[in-house]
Amino acid sequence: MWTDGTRSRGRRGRGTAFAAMALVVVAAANACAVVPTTGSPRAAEEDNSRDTLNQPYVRMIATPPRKDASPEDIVKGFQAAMASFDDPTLAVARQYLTETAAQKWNPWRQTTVFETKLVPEGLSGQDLKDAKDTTVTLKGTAVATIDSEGRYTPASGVVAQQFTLARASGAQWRIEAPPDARLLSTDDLKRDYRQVDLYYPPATQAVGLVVDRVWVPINPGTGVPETLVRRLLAGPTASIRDSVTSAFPDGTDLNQITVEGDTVVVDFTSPVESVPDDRIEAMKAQLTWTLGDLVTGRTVEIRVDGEPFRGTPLRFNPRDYSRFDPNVLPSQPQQYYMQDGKLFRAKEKGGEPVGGAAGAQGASFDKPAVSVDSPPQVAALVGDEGIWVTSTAVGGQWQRWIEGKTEDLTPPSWDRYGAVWTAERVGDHETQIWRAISGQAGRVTVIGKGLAESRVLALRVSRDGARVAAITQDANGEAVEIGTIVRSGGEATITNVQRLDARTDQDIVDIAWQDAASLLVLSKGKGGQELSTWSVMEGMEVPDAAIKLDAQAEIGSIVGAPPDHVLAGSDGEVRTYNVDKKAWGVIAKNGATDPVYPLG
Amino acid sequence: MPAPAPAKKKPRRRTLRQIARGVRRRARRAAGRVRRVWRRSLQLRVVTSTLVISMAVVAVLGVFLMQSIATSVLKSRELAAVEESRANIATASGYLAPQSAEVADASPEGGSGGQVANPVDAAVSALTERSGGRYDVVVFNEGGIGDGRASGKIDYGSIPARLRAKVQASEEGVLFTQPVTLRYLGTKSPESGLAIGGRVNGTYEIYHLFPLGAEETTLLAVQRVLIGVGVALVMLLAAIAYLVTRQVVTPVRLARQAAERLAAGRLEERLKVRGEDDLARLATSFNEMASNLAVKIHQLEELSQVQRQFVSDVSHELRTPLTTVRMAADLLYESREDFDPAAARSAELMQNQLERFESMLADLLEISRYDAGAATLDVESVDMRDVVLRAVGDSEALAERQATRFELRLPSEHCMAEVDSRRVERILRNLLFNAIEHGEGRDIVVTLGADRDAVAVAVRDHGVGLKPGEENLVFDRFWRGDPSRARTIGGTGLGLAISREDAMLHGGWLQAWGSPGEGTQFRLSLPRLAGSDLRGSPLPLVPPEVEIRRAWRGHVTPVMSPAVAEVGARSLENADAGGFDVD
Repeated sequence: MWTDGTRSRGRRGRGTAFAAMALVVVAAANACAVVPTTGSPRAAEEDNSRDTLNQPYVRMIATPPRKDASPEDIVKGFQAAMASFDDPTLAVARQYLTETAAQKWNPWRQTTVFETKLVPEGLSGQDLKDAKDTTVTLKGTAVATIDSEGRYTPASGVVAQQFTLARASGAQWRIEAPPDARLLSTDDLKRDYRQVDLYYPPATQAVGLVVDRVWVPINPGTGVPETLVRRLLAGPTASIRDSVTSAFPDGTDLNQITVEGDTVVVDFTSPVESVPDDRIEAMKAQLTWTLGDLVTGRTVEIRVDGEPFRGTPLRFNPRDYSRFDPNVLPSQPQQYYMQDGKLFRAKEKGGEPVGGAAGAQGASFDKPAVSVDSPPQVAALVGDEGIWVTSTAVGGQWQRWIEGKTEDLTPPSWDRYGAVWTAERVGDHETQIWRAISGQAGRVTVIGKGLAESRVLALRVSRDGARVAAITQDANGEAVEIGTIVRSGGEATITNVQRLDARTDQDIVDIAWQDAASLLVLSKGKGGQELSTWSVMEGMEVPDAAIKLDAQAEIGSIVGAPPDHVLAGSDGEVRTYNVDKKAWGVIAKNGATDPVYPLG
Repeated sequence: MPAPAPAKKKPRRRTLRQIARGVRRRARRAAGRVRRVWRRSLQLRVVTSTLVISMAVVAVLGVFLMQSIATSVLKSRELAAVEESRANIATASGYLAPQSAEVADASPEGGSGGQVANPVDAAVSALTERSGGRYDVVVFNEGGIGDGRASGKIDYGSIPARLRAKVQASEEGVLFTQPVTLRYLGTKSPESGLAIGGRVNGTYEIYHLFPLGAEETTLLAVQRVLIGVGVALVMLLAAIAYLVTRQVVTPVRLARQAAERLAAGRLEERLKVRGEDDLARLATSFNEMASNLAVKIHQLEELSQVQRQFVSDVSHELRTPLTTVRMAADLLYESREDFDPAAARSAELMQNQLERFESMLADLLEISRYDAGAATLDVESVDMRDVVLRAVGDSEALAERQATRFELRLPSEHCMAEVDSRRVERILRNLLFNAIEHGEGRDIVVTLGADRDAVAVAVRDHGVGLKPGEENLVFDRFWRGDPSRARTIGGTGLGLAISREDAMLHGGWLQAWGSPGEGTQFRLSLPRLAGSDLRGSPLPLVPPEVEIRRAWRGHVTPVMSPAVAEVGARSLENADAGGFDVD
């Protein structure tokens, strides 16, 4: 301790100065600390700039044939090279062929898909050494074929594909006669293809879209979104070509798709500018629905050769196009059911009768169908006098739309354009399909045998109004047929009728549209009731989508609604299926039957 | 040029050489100008050196900073990438393990619907899923067929062959990394990246390709910022140096200008004093010095004024008694024959000395007139030949007495000049008397030369000459070459001083050359037009024959032609005469 006053003061003064300086230094160091350690809480910023358009995918690397490879290896290598989509001309795959075969080979017509592994069989060992040519057989189970426009058709059975190999230059084995198809395994399909839903506006120019489901190979150079839009521009598949019209003018091509911040910029070539003004909305809807999840939460902008569309930026938010939903219904659609001879509207607690004649005690009716109008209209088989329609507005009265005997008519089905559809049995092997608009019934022409020449037990029009599903009964049993509706003028035609399920020995109880592309089929076989979901455009059962049914309960009818709502009527109860819990819950008891979702 | 080919070549070569010479000359001139500016501007030097030094410092710092940032950014990225690759390769190794391949082989037979995919597909899908597009994965298998996979748009050719060779030859689990350029299929532009490869499960090679585009962008942005900051810093420093030096240089420059004006005789020049700093004190000292100097000069001027006045007054005052003395002496002189020889001799002596006294008084008066600035020219256009001849004629009598001959070298045509002929005649008379006095009886050469602007008269004697350094002393008042020698002619000692004043009054020169044993030459040069500046003299100061002799004696070889000697003489003369020869 300093006793001397002045010295002590001097010391203290210096100490203060030093402390002040240290404080300044510390403050300065704090002020420019690189990572702040304190701060006030604020809303977290999220990085929306990540390019979700760039979905990761895997490609096969095509390798040229190795020197002195065995015939089996040549065939295996050829198979692998065919699965590579890097090169649109398949130049590497052609190296596995003899020169003449390489020039003639045309793999574009069809793609054939086989079960996972094809095992090549051929000569081996000493026999091969002196042979001038040999044959290698690929054996496998057929899965499907995909045609040049991307339509998937299931196939079955064992396929044996023979490859004839010959010695080419340098005594190397080369394939002499390749099949004019691209052979892929299911792995290749899973890796290289994407199942995509294309959306096209109906030919009637009504607001809405129709789904077209195809399989397209991903172009590795451009990525998934551009592959999608290019396929959309290429037009719908043959099955619905007559019932839809793309809003994109002919000759439109895609330049590129880029992401600028929050905006997905889709750059088309100049023909896109010739789109009529009243089709621009449909065009935007097509684009947003086809790109689907890729543009969710973003803005989309259409450009023409890098310039704004017709001089002004054509930007839009995909959310604004939900009214074009091909499934029409909202995400929580209203449920209806029959009880005590009246149509009830389901509510949180119990239900209430609908307005109008359908909700009143009066004429007894059966098998109601509800439209999407506001207020909804109800069509039902009333008494023995055909199909009657009433409004659910207060005071709505029954009006007869289609005449016929109840036992000959199938339950009515609404389409989104306000028409009621039904099928009438006119003979043992003849069916007449009717369509009624505003009380005016008209015959529907059916092209093809499937529907017209068998007995139709049920007829359902899909929610996008583009397809019709029917349970038909003929000598072989019951089957599900799918047809495409073509509307021209006031006339409607069902074309392109195809059988959905190839199985025969089953009893189909009911069908219902889940959404525009998938159909619920309730069937009864040896193992009891079974509820499966079918992708109607691929003609195959959706794997892993089967809904487990209660073994005891006998289900009489089902209805579905997108995305995964299912109602079932069984034993005087109406039940709903909870997908998350994989369990059924009751929404109405005490003699409730005939659950209904609007349309479908 | 329509000249024949060989002739054509020559001029072109000449022009080329001329051009080259011109360029060189221009460059040299520009360099000279720059050097001059550089030497003269303190500010420029300070700013330039600040600029250069700060640029060097900023560049070194910037490079160092950039390197350390780049290293840390890329190093951390590389470490993260290697870590991720290792985890991925471990995952892939699980998929690609032989037993799992067996399971995959067995599964189709089990008929489980192809849910178990090809192991390579499964592995690459898993890795691709994990990457989320941040990087790409490429798998090769030299040992299998159809086992090559790539993810996304990556062009698997981006993996360098050297890396593949290294990986193929390496132990399993050892990772190799190499910076590469990542190329892509389609329109995506290539970017820089990092390839990390490892070998697993026999012949499988797994490569991870990490794009470093984001890092590159960051580093480029940092680099741009660094360059910008560096440039701004250097500019700032230069500006600061400029401002600071300006604050110092401006007062110094003002002081310099004031000093120059002071030196030019403007003694009232003073500096403004602002503030109390060093420069202000410099200004104060300068001002004090200037005022002291002014006071001193004023005092000296007054003193010399007093002296001149005194000389003039004395001369005037002496004249009146001298007139009386002269009259008495004349009387005595005329009647000297009546005196005895001693008295007669005294009367003669008195007469002589009186005459000398008179002329000395006249000279003194004349020179005091010059000192007072009262001398005026009476200019008229005369033929210089007449003036020379008159002066020579006046000196003939004296020359004859000394047995000296004149050699006149006059031009044949008229030689007109605007001069005061009385004064010029007096100068020439003085020079001739001087030459006769010191010529020791040898010939005196009088040369008259003329050119467009000037005329010159040279008077050459072959007497004892002048010692080095005496060329200027001869014009001093009362100067005497050899004090022991008597004045035979009885000059006053003021003649040459007056002559020089006369010459200067004409705006001309009077110069002397002399060499011991070789004689003396005086040259009078005058402008032809009164009032115009004299830039050169038509005659050499050193007699040509002396030059030639000197050249012969010197290092010039006898082979040398007289013309060369002439040139040498001229150039030497130039050096002697202070470089006024321009003709």
